[in-house]
Amino acid sequence: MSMTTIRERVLLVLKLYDKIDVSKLTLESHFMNDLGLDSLDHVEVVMAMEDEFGFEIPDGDAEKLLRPADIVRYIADKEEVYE
Amino acid sequence: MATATSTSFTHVQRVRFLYKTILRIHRGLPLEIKAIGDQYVKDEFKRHKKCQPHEINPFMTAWVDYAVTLSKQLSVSQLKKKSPILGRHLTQEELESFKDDQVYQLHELMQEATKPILESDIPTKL
Repeated sequence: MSMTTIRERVLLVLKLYDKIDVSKLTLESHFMNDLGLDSLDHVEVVMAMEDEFGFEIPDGDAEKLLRPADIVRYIADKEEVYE
Repeated sequence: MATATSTSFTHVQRVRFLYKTILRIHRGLPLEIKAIGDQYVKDEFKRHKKCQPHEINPFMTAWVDYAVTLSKQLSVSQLKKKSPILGRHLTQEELESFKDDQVYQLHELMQEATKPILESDIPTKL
């Protein structure tokens, strides 16, 4: 897995989530402020990431993942992937 | 020092935790029941985002009970039994606490859920 594939997979999962407006989605968009998700939606996003990457994200970590880029970095750390 | 923000933050964390726990437990349900269950949980939690303060505790307690009951019913030892039980019947007291339209809604749901599938119900293409 490379950084590029992690980015692509994270963005794909988000595009498939029905509450996200794809036209506003970038790696740097904030889930709540830019994409208009609430904290329950955010839980669903995190669960979708867990399914996609096959590991559990503890609540304490999950609540800090506020932008797609945060998720990409978190997964890269877990999988020990570097640029 | 407990400020208003730290208290509400903890509440959000509790709600998030319960929400995720329930959706996780639902993964053990049969697919068609999971679909209905997930949607209902999502709708109910959203509907109560701005509920009155006095509604919070009953809401949380009821959903914690639900999670506990369902996780027991979906445990391996329960599922190994010949006819695993899912859900539970409403008690007489619970039924009596319902408003008329709620009872009516429940009755309609029962009729819908127990009626046999008729050939005429299957949509045919023109």
